[in-house]
Amino acid sequence: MGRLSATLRGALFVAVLLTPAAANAQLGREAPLATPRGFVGRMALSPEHGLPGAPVEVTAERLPADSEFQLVWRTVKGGWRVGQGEYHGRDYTPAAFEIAAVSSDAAGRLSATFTAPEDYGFQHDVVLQQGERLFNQAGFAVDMSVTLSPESGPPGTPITVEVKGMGWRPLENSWTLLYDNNFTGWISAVTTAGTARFTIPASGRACT
Amino acid sequence: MRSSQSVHEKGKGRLAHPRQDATGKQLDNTGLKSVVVELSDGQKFPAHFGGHPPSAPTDYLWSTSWSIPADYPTGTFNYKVIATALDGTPQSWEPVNNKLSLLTVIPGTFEPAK
Repeated sequence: MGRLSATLRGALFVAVLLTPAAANAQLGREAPLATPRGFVGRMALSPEHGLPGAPVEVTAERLPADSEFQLVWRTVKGGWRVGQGEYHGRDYTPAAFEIAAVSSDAAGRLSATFTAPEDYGFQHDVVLQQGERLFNQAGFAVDMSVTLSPESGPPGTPITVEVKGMGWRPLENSWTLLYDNNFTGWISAVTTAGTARFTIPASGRACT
Repeated sequence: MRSSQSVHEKGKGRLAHPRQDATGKQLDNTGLKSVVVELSDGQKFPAHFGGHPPSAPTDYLWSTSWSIPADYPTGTFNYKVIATALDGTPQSWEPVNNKLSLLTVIPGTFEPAK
């Protein structure tokens, strides 16, 4: 029985198979990209970063009393700028999606919990808004994760690699798979909202 | 505002420096009525023309500073710089409307080197 190891390190290139994304599947309806007219009150997230699926607590205070707000997750929609045989790079359009409808109490306080969505990794804005008006915001960073399945097997075993939380900004959006410290492939998730799944065969000698 | 990176911890200050007119002539305090930095939340900060560093200037520019308060919202941060000519004509400058070019406020505190 061989024992396999694979390591992901940041950087360069090569192709990899990506499955179609469940992009923003955990998010609600699209919301307007609201703008502030002065921040109102104070807002905090706990924790301030985490894996997709992590529960995140939102607290806010000094808001208008007994008011309804949209809690909104800001992200981007990714695509390729290609046409007529020409490649012009990646294209990311800002977008916002409702996470929850929340209300402040009589004292202007608000508390809610949402689940960190499966989305592009790194920094996102979580926004408290009413229509086009942004009241307050806080940053949340989606952490990256990598899983291998199975984690052991004989040479030839198909290894499914799943990477979640790849970013969209430069230095966050392209990653390299190293297998036994050898370059094996390049990973990105431009149109798949930060998630990539692909399969490589197990190779090499059995380990003890 | 001038920044060598796009991520800033709370407590860190910044500079602004509109410098030249269309002919390349430096726009000092005799060539402009005012320069104001306006944050996306509506706060405004007047800039002043002067030498930097003050003790032994190597450059002259418009500048203002602002320390990010500890309770300031984290996340994307935007601003614009408004220069007003002597005749009252305003001209504003904003970062390219792309999240990649915008600053980000992150949790934590910044302690300047001593």
